[in-house]
Amino acid sequence: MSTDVTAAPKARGEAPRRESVAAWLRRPRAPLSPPRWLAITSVVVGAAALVAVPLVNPSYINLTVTLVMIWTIVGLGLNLLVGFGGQVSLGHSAFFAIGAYAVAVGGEAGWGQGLSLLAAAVVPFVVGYVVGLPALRLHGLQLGLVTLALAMATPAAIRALEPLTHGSRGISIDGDPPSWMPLAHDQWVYYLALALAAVAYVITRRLAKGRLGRSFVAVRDAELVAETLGVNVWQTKTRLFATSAAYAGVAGGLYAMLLEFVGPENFNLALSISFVTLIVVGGLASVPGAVLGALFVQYVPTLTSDISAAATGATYGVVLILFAFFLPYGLVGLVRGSLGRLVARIPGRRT
Amino acid sequence: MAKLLEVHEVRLSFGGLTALDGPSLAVGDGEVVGLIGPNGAGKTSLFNCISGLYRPQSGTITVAGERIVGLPRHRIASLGVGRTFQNIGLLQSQTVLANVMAGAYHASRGGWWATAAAAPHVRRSEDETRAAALALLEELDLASVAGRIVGTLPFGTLKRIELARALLGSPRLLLIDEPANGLVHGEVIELGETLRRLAAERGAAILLVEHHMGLVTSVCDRVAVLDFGRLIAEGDPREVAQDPAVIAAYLGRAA
Ligand SMILES: Nc1ncnc2c1ncn2[C@@H]1O[C@H](COP(=O)(O)OP(=O)(O)OP(=O)(O)O)[C@@H](O)[C@H]1O
Ligand SMILES: [Mg+2]
Repeated sequence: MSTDVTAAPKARGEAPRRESVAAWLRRPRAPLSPPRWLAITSVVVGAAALVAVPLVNPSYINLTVTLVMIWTIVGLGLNLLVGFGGQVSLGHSAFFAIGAYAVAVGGEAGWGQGLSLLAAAVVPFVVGYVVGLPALRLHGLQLGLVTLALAMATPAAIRALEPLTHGSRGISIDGDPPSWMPLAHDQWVYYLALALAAVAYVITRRLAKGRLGRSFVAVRDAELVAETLGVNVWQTKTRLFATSAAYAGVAGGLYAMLLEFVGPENFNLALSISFVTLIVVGGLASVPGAVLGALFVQYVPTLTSDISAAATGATYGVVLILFAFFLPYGLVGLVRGSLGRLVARIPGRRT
Repeated sequence: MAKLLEVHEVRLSFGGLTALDGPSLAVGDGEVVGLIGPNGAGKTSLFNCISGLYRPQSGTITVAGERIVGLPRHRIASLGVGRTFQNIGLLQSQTVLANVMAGAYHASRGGWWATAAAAPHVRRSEDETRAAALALLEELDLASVAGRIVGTLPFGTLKRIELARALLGSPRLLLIDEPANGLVHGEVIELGETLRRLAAERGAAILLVEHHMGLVTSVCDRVAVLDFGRLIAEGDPREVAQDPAVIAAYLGRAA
């Protein structure tokens, strides 16, 4: 059976009109559909390149690429919640912090890195679930405010939990690989982050497509309709919130291992703002968008902060406004718009 | 033995305004029943009570013997109630196919863990859903728009997409709110035939709200007439159309 995606039937007599640039940018588009061979080749080549990066680069490069992967994990989870599920959160720096401290405290308690990272997923999941139960009864602005409060309270909460967190003094962490492994610290954390980001990416794609993905979008776009289709809206929201909190927690755990130190200043409101910027810039409700957004928040502020330290905040502000007006589908929308036709013309069997 | 749908003396008011003033109504398995009445008579309100969107102040509604009032809304779909919306309840940003596939939510499989692990039964269920959706789109003459984004399509097409979505959930009771809205005459007749055929094939009962009397008389076994939230007549479509009380209700509003 054939489904014609491109040929829009024109109303009779309607003259073809030239689309303005703004309208072109704002148009919703289907994801790229590369032929199978191209998709497989890109994944293999991309994976090989990513595995090779830490072997041929100095550690400061590995550090920034690892950060990109950490932001990607946050973005994947947050996009499930905000992009697909339509529930705003400005508070995910709190879960990122909980994950980071789970690794730090776990390290002090001698749990080992594996168990600590597991705790960095589980504890934020549980906290996210408990916070989400009441919070997700709220909508839009109110939910935004509650989660904002969460982000604002995080540094103070860390200081207040002195016995566990050592307050402002922070905690040092041993992020070195197991002694039998012939890797430097930066390479080890890089590979951990790469593996976890890959797993997160695959899981996110599965959740975002199919039966569950459709239910998320239904909750976002038409809650009542979703309910008549049999979707338990509140449960869906709560699970999305807890899941995205777990993603942020794992990312926070990796961040702690990478920096080998955590303190309250690492987890301020600006971090939450950068998370939101990430998914908006990358593309709401797009899985690959999280990668593009992560590249953006890692590299663009570094460029602008050469101009002035205050420029980062201004960049985010300006970028958020520009994207809201001109690029509602983010960088992914731009990529689809510019490459869509080209990719569609490449021969080969599509899935 | 309880009928598939039993509505008993349902009362619903919004502040001072009474939308439903105690109508009672029953629909048997496989029956096609029309629900007509002037604008504001309470037809859509009754639909909303049956699908749990509104909670009546008193009265009972049962589907297959199960009480609906007070049940969590998402549970009602799995009792076999499907519906369409008068003003379209589609996901505008999604493709036609995705919208229709969403109709299978309650009937298909795939929890969070199984989906994350891409368990075989989840893939199978998804493949079955897609195949069933495509077949239904074909049947409703929508195959050519399967990949299009819903937001760009004309109203009459959207109504049929909604119908396809509701049907994909294999409902025992299908609530259809003004399906002929936005269609031209020839399409209405075609729609009537399609409705009858689909209902017969699937053994689904239909409660049909429609202003187009030609469609109602050609499709329905029986009609019920609401006016000001009250049931004023019920019976054979042609006879009811001649009923003085019904004529007065329509004329009274029009004047
Ligand atoms: N959510 C609501 N809040 C307030 N009033 C409502 C609400 N829903 C329905 N009503 C009122 O209840 C009455 C019945 O409305 P309803 O939509 O059920 O009529 P209807 O028979 O479907 O009419 P139509 O043929 O125009 O669709 C109307 O007076 C309407 O204004
Ligand atoms: Mg109505």
